[in-house]
Amino acid sequence: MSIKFVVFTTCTLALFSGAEAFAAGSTANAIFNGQVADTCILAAGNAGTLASSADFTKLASTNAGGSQSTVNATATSNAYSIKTVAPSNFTTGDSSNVAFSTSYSLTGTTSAYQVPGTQGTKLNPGNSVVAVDLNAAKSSGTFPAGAYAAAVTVRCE
Amino acid sequence: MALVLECHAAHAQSVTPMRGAVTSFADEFALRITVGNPYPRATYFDVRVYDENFQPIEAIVSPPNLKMPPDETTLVSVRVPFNGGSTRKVRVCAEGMFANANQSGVRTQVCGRYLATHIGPQ
Repeated sequence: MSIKFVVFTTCTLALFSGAEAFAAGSTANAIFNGQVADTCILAAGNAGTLASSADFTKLASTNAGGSQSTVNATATSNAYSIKTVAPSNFTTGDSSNVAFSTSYSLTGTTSAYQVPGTQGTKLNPGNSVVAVDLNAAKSSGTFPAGAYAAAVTVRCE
Repeated sequence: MALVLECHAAHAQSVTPMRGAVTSFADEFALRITVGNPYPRATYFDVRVYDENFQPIEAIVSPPNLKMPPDETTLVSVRVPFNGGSTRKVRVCAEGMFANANQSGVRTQVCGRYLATHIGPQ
């Protein structure tokens, strides 16, 4: 997208002491050009929190006490999409028999609610907030006590 | 009269251009992209190259790791072999990892998509 600024300047010469005057002077355009890149911008916001279910078989940001992670997304055209990619492992904690899934919601110039992470959403131009949820579920057994951490990828392309 | 016009370049964890097509006579092709840092602090980014299925591929990235001051942009050069093909679709991604004290967080990934065509002898 190209933005052009045009400033019109007018100079008028007038002779006040006599009968003659120049009604109009010369004009010139001072021209400015600008450029906005066609791109997608991501900026990490808040880190999320995983909370365990009452039976300790799930760790999720959607459980009571959990919170979403947020990323600010800006698109300068409608050519780009957002999706999230679930981790394959915890960066901290035992990942055995754990299946990860993500979902996300969008507010701002683009609105979407609880979209599965594997599904892309086209961004409208402007600023949107991506709120990401992570769900980790044990296929067998329960999560042992300890600290757990994971990172979800938020992708714009 | 004073006229003040401030022009700011776009600064962000962004990849520009994010779409492109290149042709090359050589057995490899080169891309030059601009990566930006939107954060108000110095931030580390990695630049990685993937195929159309998001599998990592062989490429020479210079520089592959960036520590960027706030609101700065950096040019990154990428060279990718055709591997015998006449065309190649690649993604070049700027990736940042943002975690809290216990390493929970998000990895932000902004990816450009490019099509390269080999017009020299195979």
